[in-house]
Amino acid sequence: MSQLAQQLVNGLMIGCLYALIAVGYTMVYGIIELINFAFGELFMFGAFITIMMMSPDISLFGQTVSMPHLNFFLAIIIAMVVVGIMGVVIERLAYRPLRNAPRLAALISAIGVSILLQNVAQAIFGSQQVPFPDIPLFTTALGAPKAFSVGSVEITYFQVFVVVITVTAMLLLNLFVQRTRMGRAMRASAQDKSTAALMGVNVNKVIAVTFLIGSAMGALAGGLYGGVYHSAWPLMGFNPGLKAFIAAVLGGIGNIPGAFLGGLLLGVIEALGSAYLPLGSQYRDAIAFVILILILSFRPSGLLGSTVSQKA
Amino acid sequence: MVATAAAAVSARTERLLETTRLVKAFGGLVAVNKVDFHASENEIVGLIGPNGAGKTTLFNAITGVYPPTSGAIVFKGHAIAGMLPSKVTKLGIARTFQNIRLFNEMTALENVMVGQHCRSHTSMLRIIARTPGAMRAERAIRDKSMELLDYVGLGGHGAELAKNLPYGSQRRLEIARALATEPSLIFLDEPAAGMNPQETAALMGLIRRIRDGGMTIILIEHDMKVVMGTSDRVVVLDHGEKIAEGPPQQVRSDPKVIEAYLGKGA
Amino acid sequence: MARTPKDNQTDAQPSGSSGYRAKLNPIAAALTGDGSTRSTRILLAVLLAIAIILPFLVGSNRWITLMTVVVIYVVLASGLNIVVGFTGLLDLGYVAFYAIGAYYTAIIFNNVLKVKYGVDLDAFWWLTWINFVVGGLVAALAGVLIGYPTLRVRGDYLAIMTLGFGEIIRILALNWVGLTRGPSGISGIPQPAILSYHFTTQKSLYFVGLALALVSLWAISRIVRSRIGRAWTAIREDEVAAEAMGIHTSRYKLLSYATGAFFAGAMGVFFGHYLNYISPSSFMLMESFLILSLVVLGGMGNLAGPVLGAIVWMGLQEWLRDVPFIQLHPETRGIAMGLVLVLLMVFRPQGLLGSMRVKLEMRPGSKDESEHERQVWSDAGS
Repeated sequence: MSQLAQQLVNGLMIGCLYALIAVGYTMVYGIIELINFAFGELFMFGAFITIMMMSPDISLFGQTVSMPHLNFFLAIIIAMVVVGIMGVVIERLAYRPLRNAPRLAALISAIGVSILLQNVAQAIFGSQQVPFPDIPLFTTALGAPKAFSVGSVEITYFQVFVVVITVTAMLLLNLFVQRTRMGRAMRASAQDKSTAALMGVNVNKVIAVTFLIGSAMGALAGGLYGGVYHSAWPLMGFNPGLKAFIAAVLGGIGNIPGAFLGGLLLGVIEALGSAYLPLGSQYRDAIAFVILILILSFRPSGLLGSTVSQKA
Repeated sequence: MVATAAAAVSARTERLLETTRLVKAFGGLVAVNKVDFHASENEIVGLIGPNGAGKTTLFNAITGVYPPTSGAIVFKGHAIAGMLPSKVTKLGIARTFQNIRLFNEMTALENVMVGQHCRSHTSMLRIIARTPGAMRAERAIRDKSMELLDYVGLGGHGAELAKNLPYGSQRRLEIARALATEPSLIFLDEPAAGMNPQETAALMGLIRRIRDGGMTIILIEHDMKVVMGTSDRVVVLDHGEKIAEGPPQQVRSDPKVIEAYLGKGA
Repeated sequence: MARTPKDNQTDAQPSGSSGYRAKLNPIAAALTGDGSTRSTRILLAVLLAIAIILPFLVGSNRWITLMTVVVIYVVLASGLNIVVGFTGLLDLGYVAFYAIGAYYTAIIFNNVLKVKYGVDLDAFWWLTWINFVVGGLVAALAGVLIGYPTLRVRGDYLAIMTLGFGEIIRILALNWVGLTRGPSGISGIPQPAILSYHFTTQKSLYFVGLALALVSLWAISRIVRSRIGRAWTAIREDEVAAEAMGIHTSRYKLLSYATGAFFAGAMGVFFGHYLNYISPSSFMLMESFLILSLVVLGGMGNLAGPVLGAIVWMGLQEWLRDVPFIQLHPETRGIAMGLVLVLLMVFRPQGLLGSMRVKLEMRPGSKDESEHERQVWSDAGS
């Protein structure tokens, strides 16, 4: 029983990270119907930039460069800003020119961006794992993560922090989308871009803001991931990115609460599956894909999505 | 009494296509509401009604693009409601589209040859081996397709990409492609849309020639000249319901029809 | 219906790919698709000549290995082109079929024959050749199974679903240790042989690969230039209209997956017998992306594009492999690939050869050809 609870805790926490990335996917897909493969890599850059800002120095392109040595919270905010801007630039260069091109072209471009970013990161940071500095607030004097126990389930302070931050981010995002003018513009553009444009919405700006927020969320997830797993490496983003997309589909693409729900569900199912299914831990990565196939076969609009007729 | 009943019975037996209380609803919106629609052999039936009346939806429900919500559709004795569109086509119903749907990156000839697809059955192995039978079948497809291009007035343009053809030619190409499926009944969805008067007159001639060739035609059109000038019978839909039916002149002066188009108090 | 004159004016380009010219250069004619210009056919003949003669001219095995790699990817790209280029289905898990072919032959030879029955593999030399076809068929079956759930799903989701399947296959290969030996892979796959002659040298293996490639390209060309190819292209152009014109789109999509998968599977079998060893690391997701890049680079939707893409990219890559800078910085390959994909899509989505198109018709063979038509084409002089 306690193992179940422990798995639930772990699953919930990784689910939060998936949810943060999934939100980016779902928002972007809701507006321009593009699977931004690059979100996984933006997540990865989020982790790396957080590390960069936190460290006294870091090896870039093989040279040691001195770094600001900031605290975790400042570092992650900087990472969110930087990666957010990266997202906007990527949209401008690789996706906007293809807005009216066939879907295949935009998708291939997205794959290209993803491959490019992975390899650029490898060029900059090397292909090895880079350790994530300990965060003093969450680490004991001996270097272990501060934790507490509920029964026989161990929960680290940082895990709690992850959940709190994720929920806060989701609530803030929801407020933003529902209550602000830009949020309204985003919702309108997601429904019907051309009509929104006719109503005076600057659709390009809306899309840029969407990428900004989505990328920042991805970066947040990256920084948090680094804090939990204590390392980052250039290829770390691909798997979580893919799974986050699946989570977004699970929850209902285009639906922000859906992305949150999908992320949590996927994290929990993965954790439970890998613990309890025979050979579960080896086939852990396949669980997400099986979920994807099932969802697309039986309820393509996702759990919280509305059933939309397939025929145009 | 007896004479008309017998006539009614024999008229019924010649019905090629018949829908009974056909309904198509999209969620809460009922686009086609218990429509009884029929077409007899060698008839030209005009289907008119204001925008949004459900005409194209009726086409789509019959040709299998949407499965009907309820009601029956019988074609040549087969119940075709909910059948796959490709199967409906194989049974002998062809169609054109309201917004032209050609295969843009294929040539005009190739477009028409696609129409012939369901009328030949060469297997992959025979195709790879280029057996004499396979070559003969391909040649037959090609010849028939070229004939059809000539028939609609596009002979000589077969090698042009469909997307490069002028608008009027594209409409005619769609008709040729539909004819290539060797149908008994053909749905034309606004074939005259966007055409100038000369093109429209040529189209009317083509429609009549197609019917004279033995085919049944169901025609959605907003151009009243075309409808009144070619149809044997006109059916009027409004808000998904059939509100009038009969010979063109009768329908045109039906007050319900006038009201549907022009609104109350016209 | 009006009679049409046989002397058809609908063909703007006199096509020389039939009749007596076809007899002279059937492969060139087959590959060129619209087979129109003499220059294209000469180019192909030259390429073929190079392909055959070059191994005898170069000294080192490096070049021969390079050419073998190119030949494999030519077929892989052409196979994927069927699905992505002609039918318009973005398959991101294509490497799975390659893996299935390779593992099929590896398992048959190693697990079954050698281990289970303790048979002398030399006696089964003929099985290798049969496996090219059977491995392809097994992969084709997988293609149908994998394709089936994707039928009702839209383009982007289809891409992710196929990606998922590809990953599932790789994860299976990695973890089903009893069948696939997991990460250690399967070794001891015998080299191809005919009776007592074993294809052991790089050169001889290359020619086996080349022969396979030529047969595959010839078959693909014939399949595409037929009603099947027209059906596929129609589906790509407008699926709703294709269905309305009597094409059972579900069946043809599955056929497309199966056909593409067949050729990947066949090359997978060759790969296994070429390297004598396979492991899951040869079948990563990046391979699927690489093959896709080759198709995109060369030009989707015609027959020559993937061939050119494979030659250019794989050739370049293998050639530059020994350059020190690139050895030190393997990520440059990835950066180049990513850049190429994005830049191509933004500036030249049709790829290098995309503006060429394939004439989707079977040209009459020499037997069927009328004397009149032969006259028309020979008069046109091309």
